[in-house]
Amino acid sequence: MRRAAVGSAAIAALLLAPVPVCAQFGRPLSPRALPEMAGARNLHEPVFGIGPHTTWRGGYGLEVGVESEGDERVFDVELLYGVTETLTLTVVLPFSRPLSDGSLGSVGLRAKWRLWSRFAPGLLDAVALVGGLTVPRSVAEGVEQGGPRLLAGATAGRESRRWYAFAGLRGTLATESGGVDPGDMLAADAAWGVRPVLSSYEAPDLVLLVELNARRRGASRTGPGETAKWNEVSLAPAFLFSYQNVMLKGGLGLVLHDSRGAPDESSDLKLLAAMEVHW
Amino acid sequence: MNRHGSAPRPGTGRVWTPLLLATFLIVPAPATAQEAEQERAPDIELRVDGLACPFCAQGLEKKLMSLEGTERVTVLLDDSLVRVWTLPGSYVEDDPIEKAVKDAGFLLREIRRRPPS
Repeated sequence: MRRAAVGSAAIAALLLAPVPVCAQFGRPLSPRALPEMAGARNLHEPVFGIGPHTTWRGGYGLEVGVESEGDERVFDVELLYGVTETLTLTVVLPFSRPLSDGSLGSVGLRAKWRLWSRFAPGLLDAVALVGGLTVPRSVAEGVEQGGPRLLAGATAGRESRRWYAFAGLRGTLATESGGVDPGDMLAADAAWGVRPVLSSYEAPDLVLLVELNARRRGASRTGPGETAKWNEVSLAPAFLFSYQNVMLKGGLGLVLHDSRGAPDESSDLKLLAAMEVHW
Repeated sequence: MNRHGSAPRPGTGRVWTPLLLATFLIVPAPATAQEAEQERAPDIELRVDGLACPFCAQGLEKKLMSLEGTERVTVLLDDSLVRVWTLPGSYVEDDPIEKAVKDAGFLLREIRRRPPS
């Protein structure tokens, strides 16, 4: 009961906290990786990439997070449900504008199926498939980009008491709407992690991660005659800190390579902070 | 002089006061019922594979606690062990335990029960 109260209070605090806003309000979001790649992490997984974890049968989870890239912000809320111990459904509600604007960025439904597992004492290897659909819902011009997007991908991971390793490949297939085509996206992720202290079940637990994330955006059209393609590689230190059924996570993505040439100074960093509660 | 008319022997108080204090410090306080319960050996011990992190093991505790007759569950991650205490007079069958572990996303290797005393 106390856990639930603490979790609820923390969630309420996050929900009521001022939502970071786009610095240039009303400007169309640039077709970066941010909107459709936000909110893909759950449990003990990479924060910028994905992993094969699924929650327990009948388990619920709530994650609230903020992802920032340059002057763009996405505030997302995810609700998870474990249909079975190998199939988790996630409803995604990313907010790409302040709530006072009355617009939602998109809603999405994602599924993850852990199709293979190998268990050993203190060790879990797993492979999972992910799929999903994101539907723009915004009514504010320029807030959303294009039509519905399909997501498909695969991920594998090893989790042990001390070490973590993950790899993932996923893509989004974008559709055009209103003359806006955000372009297809391909994302490849790898991550390594370590638990510096082998904490007991009752104690707070910290996992440190290093992630390597590559993004490839296909041709896009966000305005008359405007097309763009780009590739990007970033390196991200990240952490997962959990106590009982509450987890805090965060990461800092540093862009190593950007085919768009000299990026503006504010887009070299990606920040992510999130909190997840399971019950 | 005391009220019995005899004088206290010199040094008596200096001897007894530290002894009394030492007694309070050394003699263990009687165990409460809760402490005695916690010292009780677990009724069931499970060997579970896949236990790597405390956060993910929360589901296992939740599933096992939902079984009728379960009183308390602790997880020993480094030993891949789960200890279960049952309510007095209760018996939890193997099948629901196996299902609880599977539903939590782990693999049950072994169930060991405390022999009846």
